[in-house]
Amino acid sequence: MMPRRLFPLTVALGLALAGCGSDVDETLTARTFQTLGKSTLGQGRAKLAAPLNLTREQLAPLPPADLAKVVSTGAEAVVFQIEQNGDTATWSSVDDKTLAIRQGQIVGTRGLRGDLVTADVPELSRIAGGSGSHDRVLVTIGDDETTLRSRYACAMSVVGSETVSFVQRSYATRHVQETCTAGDSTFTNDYWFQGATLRQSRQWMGADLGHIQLSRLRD
Amino acid sequence: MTVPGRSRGLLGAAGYGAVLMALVSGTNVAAETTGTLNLYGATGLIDMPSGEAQPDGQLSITSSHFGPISRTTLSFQLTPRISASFRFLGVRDWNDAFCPPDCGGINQFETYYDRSFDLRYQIVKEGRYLPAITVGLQDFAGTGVLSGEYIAATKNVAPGVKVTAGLGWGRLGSYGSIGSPFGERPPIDIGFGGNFNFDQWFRGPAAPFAGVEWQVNDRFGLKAEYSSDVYAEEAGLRGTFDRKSPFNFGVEYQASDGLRLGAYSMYGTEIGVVAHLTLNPRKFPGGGPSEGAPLPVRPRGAGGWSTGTVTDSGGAAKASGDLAKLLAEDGIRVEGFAADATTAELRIRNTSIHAGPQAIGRAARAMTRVLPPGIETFRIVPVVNGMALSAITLRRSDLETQEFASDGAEAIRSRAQITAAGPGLPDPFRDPTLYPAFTWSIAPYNRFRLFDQNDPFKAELGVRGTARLEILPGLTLQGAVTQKVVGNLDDRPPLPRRGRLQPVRSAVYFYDRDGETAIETLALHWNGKLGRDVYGRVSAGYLERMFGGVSTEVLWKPVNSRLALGVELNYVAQRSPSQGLGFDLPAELYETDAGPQSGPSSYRVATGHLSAYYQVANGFHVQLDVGRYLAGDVGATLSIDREFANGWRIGAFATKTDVSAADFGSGSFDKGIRLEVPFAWVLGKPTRRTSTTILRPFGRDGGARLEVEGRLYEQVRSYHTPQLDRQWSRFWK
Repeated sequence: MMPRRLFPLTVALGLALAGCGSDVDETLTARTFQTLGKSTLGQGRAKLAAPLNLTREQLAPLPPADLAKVVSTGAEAVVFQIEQNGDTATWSSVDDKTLAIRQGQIVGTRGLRGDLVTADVPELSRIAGGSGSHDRVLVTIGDDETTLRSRYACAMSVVGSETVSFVQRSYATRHVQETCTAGDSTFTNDYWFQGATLRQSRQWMGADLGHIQLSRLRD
Repeated sequence: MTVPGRSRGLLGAAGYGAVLMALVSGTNVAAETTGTLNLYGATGLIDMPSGEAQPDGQLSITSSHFGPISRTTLSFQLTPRISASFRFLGVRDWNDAFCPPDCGGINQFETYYDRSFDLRYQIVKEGRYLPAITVGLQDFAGTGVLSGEYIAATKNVAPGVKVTAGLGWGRLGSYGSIGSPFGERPPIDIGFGGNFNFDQWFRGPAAPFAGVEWQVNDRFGLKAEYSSDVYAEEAGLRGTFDRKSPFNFGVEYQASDGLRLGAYSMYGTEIGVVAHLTLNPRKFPGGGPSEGAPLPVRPRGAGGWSTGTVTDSGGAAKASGDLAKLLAEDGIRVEGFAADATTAELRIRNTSIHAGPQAIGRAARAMTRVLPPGIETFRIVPVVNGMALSAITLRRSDLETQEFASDGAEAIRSRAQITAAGPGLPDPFRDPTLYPAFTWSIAPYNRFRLFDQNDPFKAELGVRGTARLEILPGLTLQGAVTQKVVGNLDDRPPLPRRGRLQPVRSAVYFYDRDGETAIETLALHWNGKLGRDVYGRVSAGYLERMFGGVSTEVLWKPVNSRLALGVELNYVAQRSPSQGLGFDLPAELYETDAGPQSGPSSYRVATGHLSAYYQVANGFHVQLDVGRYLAGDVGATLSIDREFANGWRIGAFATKTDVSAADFGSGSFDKGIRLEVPFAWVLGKPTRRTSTTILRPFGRDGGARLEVEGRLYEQVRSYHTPQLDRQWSRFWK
């Protein structure tokens, strides 16, 4: 057993090893070793986040809202519009992550690592049409902090009628798919239209972030 | 040290020709793949090099072991074609064949340690028919224990299959030699080490080597090679292992993106193992640090604006407070605010965002949310340590129209003006609660001592407490105390004779031993602007572990210039090894293994430099310092760094002063490698803090500089155009 007089010393050492104080920068070395230790031991791997399991009762008092999900990590958040600038709106989660949305299409993310900085997207009517081709530009931060602008050639196709369900409701939709290619890089976006309303979509944000699924909870 | 080849290898000239044929007639497999690393930590097979290169910017640390031989290597792909390595070598059982009875000179070491530098240049990139061809110098300076030169060619001949053939000189030409095409190899002139061995390069017997590599799948690779290294010294002369065969083969396993492991059969008798850790500073893990989202722009068309004014003091105070609230989340502090009817100037201090333009972009967005619609011009002035470094002038209407444009960052940059920070608008509002500000911390620290001849790795772990009182903008009193907890830095290292120089650095052992509880630093620092493009600094007190006194500096650095010029003048005294408040030097400070030398009981010196800094457009940085160093020696330091936009810096420096090689001691002159790592990159969290590691093969007293905190140049250039432009892609982040 630890001698009693060593106990305060151990506590002090424990605090010091973790690093503390109002000058956060000075404690970073300790945090670096913790981070390196975790990643070496494999504890730093992202676990799949638990779903929110929303109910209609929870949604009832809310303004128009979407459910956004980062497909690769399973992280979900309800987002609300907080600002509108021209044809693009900023939607935010309560934990300070935002999506820039233009005609239902995500043209930027913030606060998610590997953000989509900005994008050039076609008119939603072209997507809804389910045929033809167009260009799509994704802008991310590339190697050495450069602007990486990727222009994709995309083609639309119709998958068919599907029923989409989320938060205790089902919607009869028409599923269309967009396949985009640039060199040997390819991705697919999926859109589910309920009449003229884009009810759900799964959109590619770039290699770092992957797909975001957007479900329209309340109109 | 090498001995000319004594046996003709199995793969003589005929075999060599056959491999070359295979190379040239290779099928048209897709060109240029990334090379793997060898036991030397260089691009290659197992013990032999190859013609390939690593991706630009790649940094690797290799630890390899076979038989009595261990090598630890740091390698860096400096440009797409040039790579460099720094290696620490250990050979066990070094003196077994001689000691006893002969235990003098080089035979005094049970384990022989040495350091070496390599350079490689890829002269041909792999094409449809042409192989990748690289010329390399291994251990090209110093004692030359590993010295060898080579030309190696590698060609992909089938999917995943590469064939390599090459010709080596020096130790790489020691087995199966085909003659000496460029004449005899003169004996090496070691002197005090550290000199280039020009005369030896590509001289003496040359011998062919070859090998095959097959990357079976994403994870596993197989390698086999024929080595042209006879290990004359280690196997032949000293018998540290038995070299029975020139053939090596083994398997490699890619455990993760950054870790590759290998196991090999070496020279017919030994097992070899290797681990390569690789990373690339060009790639920010996960695309950048995780952080909160910025506030969006609030366009003026939206309505709902209050009719308040910000030109009077009450309005300015309110606007300043509102901005401070919005920006606090991002670690941006408002240091001052002023406005007239159409222009607003905001002084900010970015305490956490690693990219300057991102902090400026967030400040600009906050301004769109707070300031009355009539204000069209935003001027954002980044302030560091009380110094207004530049003024970024933006048009509010551009912010409104470019927020979601697909070339939004470039559009803002082309419309923004970056100029010297002027005197500013009259009567700015400054939050009186900002100063004085007190911060503190308690955190662990570590210290390392590398390449000590007794033990190549010594370390100490302890606790450091810091306190920092910002009295006024630019005037700071700060200090740090340390308490050692555990470590072996107080084990006495070899203390070689140190010539006539004051032990300004080589006595560090006494500081480690006596400074268990130490006042590391305690000093008053002032920073300020002396003119439009001129900055000044004065620091006084206990400036570093070994010196205290006064340090002054003046820097000229125009906002849009890649060139800066500086003058630094210091008058300092060497601190007592106990690192209390005193400056008395005990007699034992002058001890050496050859017996005590005499020295003064206190040491004062005027030291200083003229410095020129140039940030080259291609990501390189050059610095030249000319002046008087701590030991009173006079000379110059040249530093060249590769700089990455995210804050990584990897470079080398060399200092030549009027100290003779004999007085300097081992290594002849001061030189080393510098590695600066941004914490944001490692932690994935927003911070501007970086960590710098300096690797010196020999830490001696010549060419030593004062280590004062807060030198001006790095602070000042951080918000100047060349640096801002490198990270402007993050303006809208």
